[in-house]
Amino acid sequence: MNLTRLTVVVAGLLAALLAAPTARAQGLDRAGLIANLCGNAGAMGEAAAVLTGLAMSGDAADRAFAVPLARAVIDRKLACDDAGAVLTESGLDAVTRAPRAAAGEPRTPVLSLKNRATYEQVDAALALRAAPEAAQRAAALKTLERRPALIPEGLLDAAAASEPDAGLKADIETLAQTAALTAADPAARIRALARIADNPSRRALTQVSALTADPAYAASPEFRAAVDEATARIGRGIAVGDVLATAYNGLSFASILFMAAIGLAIIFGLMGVINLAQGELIMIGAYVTWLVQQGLRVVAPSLLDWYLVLAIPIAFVVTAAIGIALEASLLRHLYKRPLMSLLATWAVSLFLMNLVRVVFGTQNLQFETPFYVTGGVPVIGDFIFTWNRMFAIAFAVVTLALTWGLVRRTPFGLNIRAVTQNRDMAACIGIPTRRVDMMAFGLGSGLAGLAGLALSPIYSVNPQMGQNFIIDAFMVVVLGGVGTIAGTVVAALGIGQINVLIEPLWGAVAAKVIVLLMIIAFLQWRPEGLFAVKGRRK
Amino acid sequence: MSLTALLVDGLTVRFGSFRALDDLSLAIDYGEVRAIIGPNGAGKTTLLDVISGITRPKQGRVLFDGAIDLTGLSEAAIARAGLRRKFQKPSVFEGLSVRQHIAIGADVGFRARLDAPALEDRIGEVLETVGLVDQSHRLAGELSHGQKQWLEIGMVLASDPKVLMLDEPVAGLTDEETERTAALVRALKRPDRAIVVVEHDMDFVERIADRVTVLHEGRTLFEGSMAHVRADAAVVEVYLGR
Repeated sequence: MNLTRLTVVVAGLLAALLAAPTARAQGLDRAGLIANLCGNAGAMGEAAAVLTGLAMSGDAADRAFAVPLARAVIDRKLACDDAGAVLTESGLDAVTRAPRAAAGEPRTPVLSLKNRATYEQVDAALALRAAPEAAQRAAALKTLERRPALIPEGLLDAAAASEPDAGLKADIETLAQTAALTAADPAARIRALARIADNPSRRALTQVSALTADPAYAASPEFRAAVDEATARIGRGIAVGDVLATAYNGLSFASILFMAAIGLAIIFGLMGVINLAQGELIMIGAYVTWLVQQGLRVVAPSLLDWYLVLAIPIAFVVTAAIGIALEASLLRHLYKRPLMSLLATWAVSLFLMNLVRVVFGTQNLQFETPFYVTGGVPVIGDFIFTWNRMFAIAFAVVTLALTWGLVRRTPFGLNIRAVTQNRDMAACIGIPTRRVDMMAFGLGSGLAGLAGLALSPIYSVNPQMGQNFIIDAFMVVVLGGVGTIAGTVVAALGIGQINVLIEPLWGAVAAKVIVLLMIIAFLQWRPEGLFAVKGRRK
Repeated sequence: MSLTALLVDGLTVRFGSFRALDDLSLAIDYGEVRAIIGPNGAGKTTLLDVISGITRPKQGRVLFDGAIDLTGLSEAAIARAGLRRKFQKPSVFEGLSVRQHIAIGADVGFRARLDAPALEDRIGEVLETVGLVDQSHRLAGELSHGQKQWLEIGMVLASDPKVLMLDEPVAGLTDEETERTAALVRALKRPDRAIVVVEHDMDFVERIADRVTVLHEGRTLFEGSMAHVRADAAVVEVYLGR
């Protein structure tokens, strides 16, 4: 086996060595090309073919040489004389590219009507391959798009392969598909169908299903089979993509829900306080993020792109401080009265919302979109793995890990768990429950601030935004079982996915209603939620 | 250190018009095991609630070690002063392991009092004392009722308290478990420690208590040895005889 492979490799190398000088010998005959450009219509047609060949293959130096030629012929800026030709615009010799003036009586070649179209295509093809600016290449692509049937096969593939700009590359690939589909050669069309089916999307489906009206669909059984096959494959791809997209959106929504709910779960589990101001703490977290962005714009514009990262500690500390102040000034005195604390936190929620309204106004905030949350990777069908959602998911995962570590692995966490599970006993063995309350409230509030930061690239940020999350967050806490991290994770995933599944079918409002009904039904069956700690406080 | 661990002085606790404790006074010395008995509603648990800071008295004070008035302190401050209390219902943390209970009992708050090896020694010692060495990694929620009782005793014991309050430590235990618990309580007796036991089981009280205080309607009805308690006509009248 190995021997065979070795032989093949050696043979290949030898072939390459032998072929190399030949290839160089066959390199572009620059003088001949210029002579043809100055020749009659037939010669000019030959020259166009050579130029087309250069656009598709051939080496980069030759292509760079060829780029100005087609344009010069079209614009009649080529002056032919006895020594060859001069590019009149730049005053350079067409062959050597040394400056010289045209000698004698220069003659400007005139394009025939047929050749003119060809030269327009050739010029665009060359520009697409070799123009330095992305805008020039995009313009060239636009020119090619007008007559897809005239585009030489292979040109667009070569152009797509060498195109550095991702957006333009996608455009080129799309055009390549369209061009191949309308090609004259049936075999090429069938190949194109197979290639389109490799990248299924709704647009591809439209493109392919339009072909059922094509005369070839009725006439050629092979073509018909190819079209049907491609339609089926694209359909499957779209279905897979839709499933993945739903799962991905559900996951990102679940991440936001988790971020909003985890702080609430800690506070509710520990103190039995239903903190209705949690939504506003999320909102404030998002506003702090915005303030950090505005601050960076003034102080350090070069760091502007990193505002989402730099805002992490600030959003946490600010919201944690607000939470601690709230606990120390208000809730501390209301622990034995849950209804009072509910009303008090509701008042705080309204106060914070209106305070932000007065200070910042009611409009949505404008956020910069840093490069790391821009765009995405198309995966399959219409599923795009977008970075802003990935940011939220990754952020939630990191928060989960840190919170879990804090609660499970530190003395502070042990104190929190002891107080959550049995407040009286914890106090009687000397745990300072009041201080644990205060710090846990700070932690829960800080996590809400981080939730605000994480959702600022995805959702609109305005003073009312907290209201949208508080209900969902509560559903997560109640469903998960009060005060458990695992329950919060599972409930957030469940509610997030179900919401996203139902939304496209019956709309967002119906999704909320159905989820709520499902939770009510579930709590009839398991009132303590998914993961309740057994025997927690009465 | 004074001889008297706890001095309860003129303590009154009211719940609405009901007097749970009515001008109650009593003294508990270091080195003794004091049992507090009495019919339901006599104020036994309320007395422990006041001492451990859960209930604030209407009047009176509780002096610890002859100097510290406990009635104004928080539960955590009282616990840190060296008074620990086991609740009537087993009040363990269902989601924590046995080891974690002892650790949290021995070393709580935000600053560690013991370094790691000392903490390990202490945990081992306490688990040995309460007989839960084999269970050390199980969750408290999985333990039997008797084991939960011992675990809770171990948890309050872990901090080496000066006053140890046990509220019905043998409620719901089998005879054999009661026997073990009695031996455990006797073993915990030390000259620098006062042990207060609230219990209904007279045989258990007889085995462990040096002195017995009988409460009735929030007052001391009788104080003395168990033999005398059984002989006292008033006690027989309100409690034993019925």
